[in-house]
Amino acid sequence: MLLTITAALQPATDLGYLLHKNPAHLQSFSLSFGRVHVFYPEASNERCTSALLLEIDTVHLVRGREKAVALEQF
Amino acid sequence: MSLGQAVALLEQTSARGIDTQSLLATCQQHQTLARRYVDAYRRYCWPVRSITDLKLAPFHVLATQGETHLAKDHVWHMETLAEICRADEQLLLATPYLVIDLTDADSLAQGIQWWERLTGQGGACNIVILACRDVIDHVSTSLIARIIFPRSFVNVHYL
Repeated sequence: MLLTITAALQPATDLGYLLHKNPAHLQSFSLSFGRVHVFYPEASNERCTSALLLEIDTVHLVRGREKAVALEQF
Repeated sequence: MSLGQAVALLEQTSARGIDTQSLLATCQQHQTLARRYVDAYRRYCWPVRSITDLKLAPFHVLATQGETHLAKDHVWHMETLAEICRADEQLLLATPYLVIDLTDADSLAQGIQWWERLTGQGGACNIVILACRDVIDHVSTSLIARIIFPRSFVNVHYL
């Protein structure tokens, strides 16, 4: 899943302060369902877009710990 | 597909001088794999507008009037079904199968060659059943029955 949010109110890069994520870096976090990445495809004074990309680990969700590998997965 | 959009946005981010290489490569790989998967399963999907568009590929006879067929070996099932399938080749697809003698190196090599040819054709959406010849051998069947995975429309039979 990909979610983007764009700010056009100047200075647009204030979006980074609002989201507590620096537009100058790609940041990744591990969560229970997989990994989440935050990055900024554009970050100028006029327009700033933050993108949230969910990298859901579907295999882990099915076969995660405490779940035996069994035929029902098929 | 959001993967395509993610790749485009990551490339845009990369053009700003931000290191996205690792995530970009992952997303590109997922995109390639998703496309290949779609290409593979689309070969087994087609529009069904009437009953003549249906195809059935039976691989086991559960029961007929007054009788179950659990005591019959897999070769009986495959031969019987092949005969039934010939009655209506429009609707029924006979499943290719090969009996392999695991104690015979030539037979084993033949089986591997056959398997590689089938999987080499790229079929990724069919059913493979690796089974013991004797279906009432519960111990070995339950062990080997776990090796069922989507690949090709074939049956492999161990003696």
